[in-house]
Amino acid sequence: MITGAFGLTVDQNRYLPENGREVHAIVTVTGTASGIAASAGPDAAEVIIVDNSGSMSGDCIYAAKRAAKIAVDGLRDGVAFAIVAGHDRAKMVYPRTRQLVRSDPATRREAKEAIGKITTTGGTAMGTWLRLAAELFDGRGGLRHAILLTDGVNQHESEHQLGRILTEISGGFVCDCRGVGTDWEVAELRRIADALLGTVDIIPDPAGLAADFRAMTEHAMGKAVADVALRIWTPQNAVLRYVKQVLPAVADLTGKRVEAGAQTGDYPTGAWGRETRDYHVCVEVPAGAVGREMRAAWIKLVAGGEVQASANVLAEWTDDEALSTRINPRVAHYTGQAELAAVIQEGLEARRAGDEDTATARLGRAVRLAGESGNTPLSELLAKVVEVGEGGTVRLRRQVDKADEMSLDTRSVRTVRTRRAADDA
Amino acid sequence: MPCPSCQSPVFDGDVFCEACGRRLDQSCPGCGGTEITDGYCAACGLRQPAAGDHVEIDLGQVAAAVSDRGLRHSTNQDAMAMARLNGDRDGDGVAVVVSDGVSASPRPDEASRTAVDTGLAVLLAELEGGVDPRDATRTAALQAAKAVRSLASAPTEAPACTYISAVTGKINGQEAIVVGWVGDSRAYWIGATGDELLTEDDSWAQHVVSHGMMTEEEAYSDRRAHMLVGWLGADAQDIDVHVLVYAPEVPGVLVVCSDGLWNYMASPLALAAALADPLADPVSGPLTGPKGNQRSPLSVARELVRTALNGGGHDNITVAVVPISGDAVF
Repeated sequence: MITGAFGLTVDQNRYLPENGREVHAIVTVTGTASGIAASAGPDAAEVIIVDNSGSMSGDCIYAAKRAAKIAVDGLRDGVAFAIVAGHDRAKMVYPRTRQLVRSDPATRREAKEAIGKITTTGGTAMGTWLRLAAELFDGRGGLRHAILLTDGVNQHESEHQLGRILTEISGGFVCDCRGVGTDWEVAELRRIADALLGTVDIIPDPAGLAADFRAMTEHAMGKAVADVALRIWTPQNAVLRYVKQVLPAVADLTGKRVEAGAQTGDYPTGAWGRETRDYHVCVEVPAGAVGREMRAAWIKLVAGGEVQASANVLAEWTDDEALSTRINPRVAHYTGQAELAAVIQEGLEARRAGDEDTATARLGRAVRLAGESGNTPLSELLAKVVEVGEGGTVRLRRQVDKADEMSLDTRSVRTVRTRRAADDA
Repeated sequence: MPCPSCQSPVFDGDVFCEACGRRLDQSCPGCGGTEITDGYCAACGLRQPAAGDHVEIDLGQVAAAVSDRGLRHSTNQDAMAMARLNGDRDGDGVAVVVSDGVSASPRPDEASRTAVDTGLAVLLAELEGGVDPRDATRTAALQAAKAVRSLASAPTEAPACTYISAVTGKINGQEAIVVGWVGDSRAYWIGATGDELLTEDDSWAQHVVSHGMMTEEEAYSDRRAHMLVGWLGADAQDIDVHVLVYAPEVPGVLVVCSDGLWNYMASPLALAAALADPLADPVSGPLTGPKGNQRSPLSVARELVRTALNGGGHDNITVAVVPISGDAVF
């Protein structure tokens, strides 16, 4: 039983003009320090997947092995774990059989020895790696986390095959993906991470792997509550247009709906520690007469089969324009952050396709959005891809480091809080 | 079976709780759904009417009153109370009190509720004690003023409201209506031979008109028109209770209401028109329905509220309807 572990608040302008139908709200979910600590450490399982395809040979595999060993060192006693090596097939590195073992000093030492013996071979088929991980986690509750490390593209599987596997295993575990070097494809890893509720990041220099792996395992093991979902009720004849995570990064959850009773769907959010995430919910309701008030959505946070917290998204029709035209600052901010991610990705796509006009327009818009919203990390990354001249004019840089472009692409989804909220903190 | 809001006993077939006014037919007025969660319909999401959103008092053919939140306010800050007068008094009468909480003041709903509860209780006690209805009316208003004054936590944090009471029955064998008021809630007489506004508002517009400073048209088009110059509350100067006696000679209807109603039918003629059944013969009395049958005070009060809602329902709406037989043979 988990109690008091979560807080949930709704921020919105509930007033709609006559004939208004679209209701927007920012839902903030907080894993509270005291509650999360009290519900401490559930069963945890960790699978580390290391790409050992031929392309990894040399510095890469050396750094990957070192990073994997550090990750193993970060596993606390009692965590169930396994190491998988992936090429065009998936192979158990430790233990040798298809199962998880309990972490203790002895098993960790054995695992590191086994990691040391990994050699490179063959091609890349990430779906088969993930499927093996899913098999290892199968039947377990609690935290289920995987790390996928690769340096290349998914050559030995069609997009369709990978898609089918992702559908099949989604919800089975959370997977954070890391691309080392610059020969992998951002869109591909993002697709995997989105499907498995994880993050994706670039590690341009293999030397950076160890620190990142340590941070990632610590972060994963810091989670205390697994399988948390947003349960959203909407009125009859209403349409839930979208549910997006908008902090710490943009992730569209709309397609992940699992029906959970009449007019109700669950949107999985993975595992939680002491953290705050924001979601943007948009509901289209049937237009109401002035003076009418309704619940446009009833949002509950569910974990362990129990409702942890709930709040209403309301709609009220008014002929007072001062009320109905007031834009909620947080809705506006996160709408901008989502657009920022989209225009960066579109701009880079156009740039790769040689469409300089579109690329300049999109990335120019991105520069403005990032500047206005105070998203400094993205402003800095953008500055490596475009030149911002006087009066805000934007020009594509001729020479762009591939790693910088990929970093911008990978991190385009990362958002910042509204300025006021940041100042308050 | 208890009321889901206040736990008072209610009976099968009751539409509203007698104590708190909550709707008891648990079907959603929007879609007819029967599952209600946390005050919202589980099917269409409509916010369900809360206690006080729509309240009715039904004394059968003797009198009725209806109070409604209206369409633009989120709560009903009007209050009303009504009781039948029995016992030693010569003939049956009623006592009714209506109060309109001042939206700009803190806790206006508490002010209006306190005013009507205190006003009616004092009025009944005084009348029972044989006090002249005019004196009872004044005493009740002053006691209500005192009770509302005591709600203030500080002079700048003073809940405020209007106040009006009406007592019907006989004085010295004569049919009479005694009205007492502070503020701009009104009483009208809609008689078989004529209609009139009995009260004079404690409003800025009324004040400048009666002092000859402006014409009625000028005054009512001023944005200050509805500003109160008299009210109950700790921030009110002197409480000047107006008391008036009206002796009806023909059958008619006494209407006591808040400005949420009279804003849509301010002239006595407009109110009479809203009140009359268009299909009825007007000469046989305001409550006559089609085919000559009598309409109930409750149905008439509901009809008036509906008219105000159709007009826009910008404020809380409260109206009491009291038929008077009149002394004269008509």
